[in-house]
Amino acid sequence: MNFDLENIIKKCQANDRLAQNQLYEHYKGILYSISLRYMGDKMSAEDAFVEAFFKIFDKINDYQGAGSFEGWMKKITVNECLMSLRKKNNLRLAVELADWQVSESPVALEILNMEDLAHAIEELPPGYRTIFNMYEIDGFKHREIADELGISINTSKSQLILAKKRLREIIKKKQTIKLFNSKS
Amino acid sequence: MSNQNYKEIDHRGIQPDAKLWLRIEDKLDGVKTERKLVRYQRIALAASILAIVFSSAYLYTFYNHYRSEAFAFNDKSHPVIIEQMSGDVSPLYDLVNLRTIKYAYEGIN
Repeated sequence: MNFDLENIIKKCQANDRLAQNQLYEHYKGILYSISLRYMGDKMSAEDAFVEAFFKIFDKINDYQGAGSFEGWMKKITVNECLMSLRKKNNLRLAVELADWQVSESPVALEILNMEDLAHAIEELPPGYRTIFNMYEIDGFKHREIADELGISINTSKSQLILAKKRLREIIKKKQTIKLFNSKS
Repeated sequence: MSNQNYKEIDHRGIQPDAKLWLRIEDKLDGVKTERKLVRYQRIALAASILAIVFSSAYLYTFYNHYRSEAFAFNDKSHPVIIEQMSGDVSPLYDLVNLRTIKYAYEGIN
């Protein structure tokens, strides 16, 4: 299918349902994956995904063509997920380890395939998962995370460290299980 | 692992349930209907305001016409009407009395 994004955006701005469906079909995979990554479970991810797409169509006239359209849609999806997590009061980020230094050693994350890594991220508690997603995958800076979540920069940094620590544990567990299964 | 590598995580080809598009469509339709309703409500409100303004203007003209005519004609000969229209009464009271004044005026004529 020929995908002329500029033309489709124009049609979507005129509320053309066919164009809206084309846009949806083209980006549903990536935006659903983002929702799943942030929300951690299928049902919440679906709710956030529907809300995000609805907002995209509703606010498409606000898109002025500055920056990538995909980036704009991703931002809306991430914001929708954060809002949803906030509503569910799932962003508990109480532990602040201000003196922790960010000294990362390359961990087992690299030897995992994307599917396993995605599942491991989904198993993180919501607070850790959110910060890991925002910093490591979506490229937010600690200052931006702090502003977005209403926390201090140090909290953001320490939560990221704890998130990675937990992720390593999850991955280690998964690898042990895999190893055990392959031997038996 | 860099951000760029992590980004591959969103390109795993996961597809959402087909029913989700129907949910989005429902929401879009719902908002369309809601916006139409709001538009109709605004039109109805504007029409009501116009109706109130025009009917008030009409009533005011009507009221003034009979009031001044009655005053001019019944200066001394019809004290009841004058009494009804003078004194410390509210315009609303005057308006209520308008029919009496009108009939009196028409009767005299």
